[in-house]
Amino acid sequence: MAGFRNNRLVNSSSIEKIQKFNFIDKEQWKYTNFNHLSRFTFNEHFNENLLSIDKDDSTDLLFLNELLNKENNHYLKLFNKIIPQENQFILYNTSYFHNGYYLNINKNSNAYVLIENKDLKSSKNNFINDRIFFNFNKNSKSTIFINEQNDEILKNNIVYELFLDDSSEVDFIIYSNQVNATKILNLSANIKSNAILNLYTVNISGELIKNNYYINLNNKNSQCNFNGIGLLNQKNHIDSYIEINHNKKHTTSNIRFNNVLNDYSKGIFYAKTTINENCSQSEATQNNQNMILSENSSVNSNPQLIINNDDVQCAHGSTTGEIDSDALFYMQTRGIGINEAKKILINSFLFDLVNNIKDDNILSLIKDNMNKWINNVN
Amino acid sequence: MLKINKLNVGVEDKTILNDINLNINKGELHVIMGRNGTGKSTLSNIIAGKEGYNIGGGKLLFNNKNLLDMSIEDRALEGIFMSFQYPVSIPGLNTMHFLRTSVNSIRKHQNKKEYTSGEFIKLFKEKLKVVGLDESFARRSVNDGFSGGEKKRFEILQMLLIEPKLIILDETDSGLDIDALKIVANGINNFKSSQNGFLLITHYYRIIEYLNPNFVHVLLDGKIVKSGDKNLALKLEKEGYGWLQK
Repeated sequence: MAGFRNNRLVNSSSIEKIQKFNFIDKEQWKYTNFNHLSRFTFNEHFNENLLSIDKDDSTDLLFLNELLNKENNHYLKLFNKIIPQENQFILYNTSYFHNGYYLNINKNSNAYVLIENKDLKSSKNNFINDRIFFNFNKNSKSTIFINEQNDEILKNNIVYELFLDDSSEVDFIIYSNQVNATKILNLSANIKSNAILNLYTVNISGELIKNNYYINLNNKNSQCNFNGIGLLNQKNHIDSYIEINHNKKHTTSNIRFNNVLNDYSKGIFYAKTTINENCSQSEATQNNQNMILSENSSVNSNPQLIINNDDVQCAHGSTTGEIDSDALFYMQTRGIGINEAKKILINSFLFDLVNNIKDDNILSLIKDNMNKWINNVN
Repeated sequence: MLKINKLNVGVEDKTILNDINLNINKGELHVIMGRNGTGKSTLSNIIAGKEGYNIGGGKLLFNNKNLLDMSIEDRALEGIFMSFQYPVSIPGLNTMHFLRTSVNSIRKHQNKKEYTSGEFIKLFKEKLKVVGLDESFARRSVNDGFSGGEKKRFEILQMLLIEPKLIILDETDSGLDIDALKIVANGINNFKSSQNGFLLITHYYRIIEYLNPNFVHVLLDGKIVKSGDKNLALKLEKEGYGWLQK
């Protein structure tokens, strides 16, 4: 194993953990087998030339390695502090990321950032460690679109840290359509007063996808609306863990996550929303719905609410089933053929979750690609 | 138009419809009344093509075509429409998108020109007014969050847009207040013509008063035990079904 790139960021206990590769000691890791990943290494350097970033003047693009080389750099006050040191993959990323971006969205601005990985390639036995820190300054309004469309046999270990300052509002959209990808994503966000994070994650296919989201509602009126979609077929495996921590009163979180599973695919939805003691007048919802198209596909659903305050509004639910046969019958009696009716029902099951994306171009790209997937359903 | 001859239907080992005979011609409105669980909804489901029933013999013809050999959607394309007793909610499916798909699919089958989006929006809004629903329904999901009365009016709206030949109304009047009942009855009366036929399933006389049917039939224990005119429905309203079993 190559030496650690970022010695300053890694302490001795982290090194010990990494070398053991036995991170599966928490509930959220037990539904996916990662043992086969131990034969890979995680020290491939992130090559900034291969990840394309398109931004306007409202956003400053800085390089993490340059910032790290400067002492007492104010940009780095929060770097590596928002992401929990919770799992091995985060520690690998912190240890080995070679470069990475720091995106500073200026206060009072309207920003649009497009990040694409279409030219990214990883070597056969090595993971790329992508690292980006997003700093959303006060009163900014941003659309961040991460467009992952890549047919390469890509192995990616990604860490995103998001800091939303007071009254900022962010549409953060991750669209992933990578049939051959093994991807570990760890995303964490700290959200301050009156700031809103609208997180959209659409995963179409993927050999092994493990997404972990850690959201912290840290000040009054902070809010996160999480909308997730998984479209799985063949032997796709997508495992999503969403942790939301209500740390102050008057905070709001809504999770909606729908999966459609076909063939031999497997989906995992695990959400844990915690409302801490001092967080009165908070609201939290979790809703997971899974549509199973094949008897060989399966899903694990675990929506958990941990409520430590009486003065809150919370609801959670989960449903898993086949296409609604009553709805199919209803549509057929209106002259709509069974195959088209099925596609319309899958479409209806999903599109409500992305319809609030404000950028029309992103919305239509995502809808078009979802429709392509739906049209291939037998 | 619709010919039912000695039709027997069951579920698993249980007989539900027993030697049913019924002919509905163009321009006719037939009413079927009967206690709960006597097979009224089964009869409408069988005509519409719902699966899960055993056909134990008999004929079911629509314009001389054997319905028993046709898929659900083919029956609809041929002109059969069923207004549901409990219309299903489909969250996420926009009402106008759903209905345009339905109407154009049927028009295409009938070699009629399909509606453009603009044409359909205009027509949709026009028909919304007929059934007393406001334009916000164009933005809602099919039956999602609709009240009982709104669901039934939305069924009639679909009938008006699809322009079917045979219309089955399965307890369309249940759950309607007096004003909504009038709106629904007016919608049916305006659409009724010498070119279409109706089969209305109901428990109550009040909708019959508005619709002036040609025939009223009583279904008891899976059999049509009596047929008559509007006065039969009035007698049932007053005396119930007991006298028919004596």
